[in-house]
Amino acid sequence: MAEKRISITINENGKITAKTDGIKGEMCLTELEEILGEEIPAMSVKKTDEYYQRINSGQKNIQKQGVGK
Amino acid sequence: MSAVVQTLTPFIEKSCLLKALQYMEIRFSEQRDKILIQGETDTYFDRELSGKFKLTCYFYTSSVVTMLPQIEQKYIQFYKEHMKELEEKRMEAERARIENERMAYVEKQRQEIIKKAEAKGYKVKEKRNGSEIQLVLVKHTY
Repeated sequence: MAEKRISITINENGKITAKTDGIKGEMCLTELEEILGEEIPAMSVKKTDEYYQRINSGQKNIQKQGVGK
Repeated sequence: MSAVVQTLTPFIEKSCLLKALQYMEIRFSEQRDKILIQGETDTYFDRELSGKFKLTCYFYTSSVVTMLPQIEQKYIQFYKEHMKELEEKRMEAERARIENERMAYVEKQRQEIIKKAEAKGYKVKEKRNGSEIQLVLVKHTY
């Protein structure tokens, strides 16, 4: 049984940091796009080594500037 | 010949006039827009149609008449303080409005993320770390 895990932090200004674990390849970005929705276009994406390990796992760190940032 | 006339500052703000009278230790009672001076015959301030409080007295030598310049000075002082207070309240109300807007935005973000995650079959665990919201979304697949 595989586990997909997404950890999301919303700070007091509405800035979002999201990290995926256990989601393969580009699917992790797709998954985040679907959950964060319209937050996506303005965010910066850091692809970790795991992102490129398509078979084993995918991981992304995403940061979005919040209200007035 | 020429003449220079200077009027009193119009007493428009009742609360400031009352404070000024209190400061001058003038005893009074209130009847709606009438401020009756105690211990003086037929002496009172009442609000004219123009909005200002005008002093009416039976004796021109009334002690209130002689104290009018000091009452005026205190009225001006209390009026300025009152205006400053109102400005601070206005600023505080504006600060609260902006802060509420920020909190509403963050709450909307939180709700939308949870809704979308649950729709995709994730179980959502939420933790608060001060004002920070931490969401952990977990889904098991076979």
